[in-house]
Amino acid sequence: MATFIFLVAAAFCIAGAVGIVLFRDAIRSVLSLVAVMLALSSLYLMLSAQFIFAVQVIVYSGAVMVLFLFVIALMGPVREQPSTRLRFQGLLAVIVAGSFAGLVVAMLGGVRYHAPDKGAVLSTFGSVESIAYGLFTTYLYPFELTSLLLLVAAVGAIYMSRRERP
Amino acid sequence: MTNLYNDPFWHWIVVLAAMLALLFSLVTATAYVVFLERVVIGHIQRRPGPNRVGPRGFLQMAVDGIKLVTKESFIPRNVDLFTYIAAPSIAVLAALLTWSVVPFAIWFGGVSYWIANVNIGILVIFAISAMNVYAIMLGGYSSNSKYSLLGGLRSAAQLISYEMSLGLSLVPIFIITGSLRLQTIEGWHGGLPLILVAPLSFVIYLISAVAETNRAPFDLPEAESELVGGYHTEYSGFKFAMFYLAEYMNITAVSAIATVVFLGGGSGPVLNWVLWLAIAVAVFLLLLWSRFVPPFGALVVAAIVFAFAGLDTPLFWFLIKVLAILFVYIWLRSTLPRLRYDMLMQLGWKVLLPLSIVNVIVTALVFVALT
Repeated sequence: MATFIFLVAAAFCIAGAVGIVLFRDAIRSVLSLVAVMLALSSLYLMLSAQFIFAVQVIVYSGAVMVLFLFVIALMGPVREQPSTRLRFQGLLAVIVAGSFAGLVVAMLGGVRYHAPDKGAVLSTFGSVESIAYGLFTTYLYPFELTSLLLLVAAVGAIYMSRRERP
Repeated sequence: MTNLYNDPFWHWIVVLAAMLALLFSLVTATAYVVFLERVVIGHIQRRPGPNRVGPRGFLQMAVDGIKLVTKESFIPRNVDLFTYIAAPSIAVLAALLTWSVVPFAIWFGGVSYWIANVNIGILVIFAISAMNVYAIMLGGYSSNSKYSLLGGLRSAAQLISYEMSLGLSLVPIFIITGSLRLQTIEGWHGGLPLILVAPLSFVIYLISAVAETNRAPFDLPEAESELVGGYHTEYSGFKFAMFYLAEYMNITAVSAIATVVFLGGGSGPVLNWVLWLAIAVAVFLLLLWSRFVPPFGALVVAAIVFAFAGLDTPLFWFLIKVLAILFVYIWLRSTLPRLRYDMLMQLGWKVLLPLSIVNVIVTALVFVALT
C-alpha cells in the first residue's frame, strides 16, 4: 500500500515537473507546479512529517501558488511564443540538463541510507509537538533570526513599492 | 461488541460505509439548507418564499436539482476548456474533503465511529479550504469574461486576507486545549463549550468564516449589481449546480467546525425518554406554527427527534448546534447590506487581523499566568 502511494505521488511529481517546462500556456505551468506541490506534500506525509505536510499545502499550494495565478490572471491569457533569438538554446539546454543530471547521479550514488535508530518513535517524529519543541528550544535563535529577516524583506518590499509617491 | 474500528478489514468497510452515508446525507441536507434559507429569507422579507411545488414547497429543491441537471450545459466560445471543467470539480472536491475530518461520530454498539481521526485535524481543514481558492480563481480565469475574471480576482484577494484571521482565531483554542485533534478539542473538559473561555475567538472565527465562504455581507466575488454572477457568470446547468452545491456544503462545514471547536460539538444533556417526548412534541408544535414543513413532515421530524433519544444523543445535539449557526448565516445574509470592496479589505487587515493577534497574545499570557 505504502509503495503504491509512493509510486503514484512520485509519478505525479515527475509528470508535473515535466509539465511546468513543456507547457507553453503559463496557467498550465502554474497548475503543474501545484500538482508537484500537492504530490510533494503527500510524500512528506508518508515520511510521517504531518506538520510539514499541512504547511506545505497551506503555504505553498494555498498562498504562494495563488499569487502566481493572480499575476497570470491579471496579465491575461498570453501564450509564450517560441523564441527565435537564441537558436542554439535547445542544444545548450540538453548539455546543461545532462550535466546536471550527471551531477545529481554522482552525488546520490555516494549517499548511504541507514534505517532509523532503534529507539526512535516514528509516530511522534514529525508531529506538531516535536517540531514546536525543537523550534522553541534548540533552534530558537535561528528561528527568530529567520523571522526577523522575513520581516525586513516585507518592510523593504513595501518601502520600494511606495517610494515614488509623496 | 468489539471495536470494529481496530480490525484492519472491518475498518475499511466501516469507513467506506460512513463515507457513502455522509455523501448521501450531505447532498440531501445541502439541498434543504438552501430550502431553509429561501424560507427564512422569505419570512424576514415578509413574503411567502417557495410554496408551490409539493406541500408547502417542500419538493422545490428536488425540482430545482432536476432542472439544473437536465438543462443544456452551455459552454461559451474561447473558454480554456480544461480549467473551465476542472474549476467546479475542485469546488465540490474541496467541500466534500473538509467533511472527512469533521468528528461527525455515529454511535453504534457503544462505540463511536468517524471517518478519520487525525491529530492535525484543524490543519487539514485549513489545507483543504486553501484549495477552494483554485476553484474560484480558475473558474473566473477560464471563462473568458471580464465579470468572471474580476470576480475571481476579488475572491482570491479576499480569501487570502481572511484566511489569516481565520487561522489566528483558532490559535487560542490550541493554547487552551493543547491539541490540534478535533476530537480532543470537542471533548475538552467533558464537552465544555470553548466559547465561554474564548468568546473573542468565536466572533473573529464567525466573521472570517462568512468571508471565507463568500457569503453576504462579504459576497463581493458575485456582487450581482457590479459583476453579474461573478466567477460563475459563464457557468450553466450541472457545472453551475456544482458551484452552488459546494457553496452550501462549505457553509455547513464551517458551521460544523464552529460547533465542534466552540460549542462543545455533540455534548449536551443526556435526558430520559419523558423529556425527549416533550422535546419531540415541542418540535412538532414549533414546526406546525412556523409552517416550514407540512403537518405530516412535522410529525416525521418529531418522530426522528424522539428516535435520537435511544440512538445517538451526541449527533442530535451536534445537528441542533449546526442548525443554529446556519440560521445566523441566513439571518446575516437577509439583514446586512453588502460591504464595499475597500471596506472589506480594511475590515480584514486593519481590524480583524490585529484583533486576532492581540487575542492570541492575551490568551497566551493568561494561560501562562494560570498554569
